[in-house]
Amino acid sequence: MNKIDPDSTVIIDSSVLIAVGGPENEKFQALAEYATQRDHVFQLPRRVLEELDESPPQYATQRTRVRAAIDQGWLTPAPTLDYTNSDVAAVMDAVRARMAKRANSRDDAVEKTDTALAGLAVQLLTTDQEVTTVTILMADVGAETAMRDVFRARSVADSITIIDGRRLAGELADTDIRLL
Amino acid sequence: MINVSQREQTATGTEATVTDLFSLMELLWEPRLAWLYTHLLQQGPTTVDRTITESEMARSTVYKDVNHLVELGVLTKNETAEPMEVTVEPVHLRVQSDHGVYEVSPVLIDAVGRTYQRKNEDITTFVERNGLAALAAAIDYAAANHRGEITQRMAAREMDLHPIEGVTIVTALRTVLADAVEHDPYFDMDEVTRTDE
Repeated sequence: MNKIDPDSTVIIDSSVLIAVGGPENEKFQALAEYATQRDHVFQLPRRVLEELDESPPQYATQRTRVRAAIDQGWLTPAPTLDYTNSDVAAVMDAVRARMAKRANSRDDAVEKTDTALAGLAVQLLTTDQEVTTVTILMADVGAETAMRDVFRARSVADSITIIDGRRLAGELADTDIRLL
Repeated sequence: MINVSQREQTATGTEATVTDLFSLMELLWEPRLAWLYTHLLQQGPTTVDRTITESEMARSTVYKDVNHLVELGVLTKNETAEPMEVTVEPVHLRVQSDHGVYEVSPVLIDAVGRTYQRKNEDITTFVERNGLAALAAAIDYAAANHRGEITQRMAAREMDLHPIEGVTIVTALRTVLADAVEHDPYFDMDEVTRTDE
């Protein structure tokens, strides 16, 4: 299993929270238990939170599960992105360009939220002295592939680890986590 | 110039093709039938009794649907086996219009079947809001996402959906794609292409 480094700061994407289901789902519970037992508080980018708040009423369950995770204490809104930080702006631009290239699309076809995870990771690494490594939990292969390309090219791949959050939650749900 | 035998062959081919079209339309419009069809396809040769147990459907409903699938030409009964076995064939129809080409195959039937009794809540909500044609498009986008070509949010934008709705349907379709790789001989994850509007 691809475990999270205990000292790493963890960012999570809504793709994982959507993939694990609601609080009644065993994958959600396994992820919650894993985070809580290891004192991880996953950070959710503000843009992702806004996106959830603006979603159609039929998707209110997605909002509910995020609120539940915040109430349970293992999820928190991340600091606001500082676009004046040149490292943050540069990595977001690079990720946007890479996503567009992979999709044969124009840069403006890329949702800004897609670049927020990478921007937040770099912001935490460059501005918070207590942050030495960042782990991103996500379940979007397309976004992950482009971000990996950029992290490698910008030599930050050693400080930023991407983990498939859907797979992690699935493995946790099938496993007694005391044995991990 | 077409001779008589060629003409007969053409007529037969036309009739068979149009029959396939009608069969597929019935499967696509009846989620219960689509669900049972997919269940039988994934099981391989099986008995009606086993299907009744596994499907938790009423005996009379299973018999009715099995006979319906026979009428649609997608199910064969092996009556020499004891007890009798049933087998369904993977459906396949290539549709060409002024907008492009689309190949209907079991992956779409599977996705539709998951709306039966809201077996998959996210797929059911998506179909209620956007319809079956959008579901077919979402399968293509989900495959492109799985190949790492496009992000879930970009897929949402191209389908003119709210990002959360796009992320949700692409996520929900992942298990459908995984099953298709195993059971749909016409579905190739690497060859599904997005038809840009």
